[in-house]
Amino acid sequence: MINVILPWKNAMRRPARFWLTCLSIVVAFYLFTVISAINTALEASGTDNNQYRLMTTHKICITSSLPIHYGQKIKALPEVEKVTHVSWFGGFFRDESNQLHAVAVEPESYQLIYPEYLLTAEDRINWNRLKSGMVVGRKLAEKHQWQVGDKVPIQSTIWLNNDSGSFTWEMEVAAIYDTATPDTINSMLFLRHDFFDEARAYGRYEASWLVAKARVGSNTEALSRQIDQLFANSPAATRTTTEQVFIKELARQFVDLSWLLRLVVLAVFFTLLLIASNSMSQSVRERMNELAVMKSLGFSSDMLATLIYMEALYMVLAGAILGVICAAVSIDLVQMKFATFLPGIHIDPVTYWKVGGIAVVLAAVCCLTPIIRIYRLGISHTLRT
Amino acid sequence: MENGIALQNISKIYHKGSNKVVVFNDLNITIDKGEFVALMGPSGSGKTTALHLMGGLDRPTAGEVLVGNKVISKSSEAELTRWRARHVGFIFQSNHLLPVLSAFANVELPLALTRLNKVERRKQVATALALVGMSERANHLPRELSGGQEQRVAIARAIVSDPDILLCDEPTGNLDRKTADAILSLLHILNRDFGKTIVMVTHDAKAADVATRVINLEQTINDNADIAIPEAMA
Ligand SMILES: Nc1ncnc2c1ncn2[C@@H]1O[C@H](COP(=O)(O)OP(=O)(O)O)[C@@H](O)[C@H]1O
Ligand SMILES: [Mg+2]
Repeated sequence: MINVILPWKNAMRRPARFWLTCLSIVVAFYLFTVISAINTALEASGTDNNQYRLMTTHKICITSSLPIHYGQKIKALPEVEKVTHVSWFGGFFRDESNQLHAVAVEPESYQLIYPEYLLTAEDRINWNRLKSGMVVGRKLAEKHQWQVGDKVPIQSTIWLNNDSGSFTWEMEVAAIYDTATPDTINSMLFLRHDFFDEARAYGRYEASWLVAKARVGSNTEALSRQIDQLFANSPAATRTTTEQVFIKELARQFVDLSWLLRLVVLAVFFTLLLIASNSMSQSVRERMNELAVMKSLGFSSDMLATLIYMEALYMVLAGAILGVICAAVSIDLVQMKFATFLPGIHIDPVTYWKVGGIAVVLAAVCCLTPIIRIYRLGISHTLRT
Repeated sequence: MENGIALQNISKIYHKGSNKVVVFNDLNITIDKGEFVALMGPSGSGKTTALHLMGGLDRPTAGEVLVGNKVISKSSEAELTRWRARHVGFIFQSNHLLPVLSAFANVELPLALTRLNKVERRKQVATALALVGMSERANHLPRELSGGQEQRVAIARAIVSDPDILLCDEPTGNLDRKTADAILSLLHILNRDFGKTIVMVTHDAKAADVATRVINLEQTINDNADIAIPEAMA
């Protein structure tokens, strides 16, 4: 009881000092959590799905297209199970700030390779029937309040629509997909590649990239080389990597989590440590007399050290919790914008444990000096001053 | 001498830089169980030092401090801490209550060191507060109390775990006459009706009336002469 309430009351003795110190802790944990989340998204791997998915792009320029018929050659390789092609649509809704993660896909083969986007049998039939139908993630649908059957004009920054004579593509929501895991992005927009191909004014029969699903257990590295070999001498040479590597490389163009960034986080934590230690030292120094009185009442140095530790823990935990909450909120806010290069960015549960662990250790380190002071405290001497 | 206090052949020397401050040189005091001793003497004569030695807050340079049959000058720090919690209550000149805790919680503080459960603790705190006449102010913070009221709460805290010995360092030093008298009579009751052994450092001549005995410490700084303690010898 006393270990819980007394340290809290002591911590709140000077609310301004408490919250200012807390603020530096919030900043540190905010950065830590956000960077961890980005890291998790980058390192997201290990599922059978993306481990055996090979992305083939133009060798020189990732944004250049490849002939769709490359897929047939790739599919002929014994290690390859399925192939599909995907085109980047470059879409936005109404306003350029509402960027969409929109791609044109061939529904049947795409769903076989990407089973993580959950569609019901009925959804599939609907989409099959409706050429101008699009499938959108639950989150995206909620954001724009789209419902199945809604006709929505989607703008493309890249593709001119022959039918409308403009960059506006009128499409109908054929289905809304759900996701099974937090790694899967729930704000995608899929349109049909055949519909896209027929209407677009240029680039027909080409796709932004091809995806091959390798047999489980196959050597993806060797297979990638094999694929690239197929087109080495054609006008559009290719570069093939696993999806994991592809996403990482794509992400690194936007977010460079280099050592410099880590160094910044480290520096922030170091500063935090100085601020928090100083605040704790000050707080304890101001009431050495009270601590001497408690010793005279029979409280041991260990007990007093526990009280001080708890006080530090309150401060660090308050900062850590607020930092994580801020991080969670801002990650949620940018999730759509980051979706392009960091699909499914989210806070890994492991991060919470790490934050807890860091907080516990940090609290111990920042009350080290005051605790040493407590063990050295001469009761008689302190009571006289 | 059951539960009494004995300072035997005590010398206490403080080192202030290169200066040596000899507070005691072969001091002997014996206090019996149940006594109410007023420890008097001019400022700097070592009253606080003597009191701290009796409560194990400080150690003598030489000599032994016996309380009951325990040689507390030889006990380890941890042992002393436990011993203080059970046997000694302190009352200081300025009240030294924890400012963040209510009167009730301040009095309850020493009971956190016991195995008493919440109900038992509450009962004991209520009794102690009633005894010092502070039941009505249980939920007040120290800053909401007057000096005399704070001192009463401090006394309640000192007696709540029912120690045999109360060591008071100028408990009425900061109080007006009327409040001081009330505190003195409270200590008197604790001694007479509850059998507490009380050692009270004081400048107050009136305190002598309440005490069963007065011990006078003379100014002896840097003086190697034996310290005269007439009443103690008597
Ligand atoms: N920590 C210390 N270092 C040096 N001298 C001290 C210390 N504590 C007390 N003294 C000296 O010891 C003497 C006795 O002090 P004290 O016991 O407080 O006297 P009293 O309580 O009778 O006024 C004083 O001269 C004081 O200055
Ligand atoms: Mg004194």
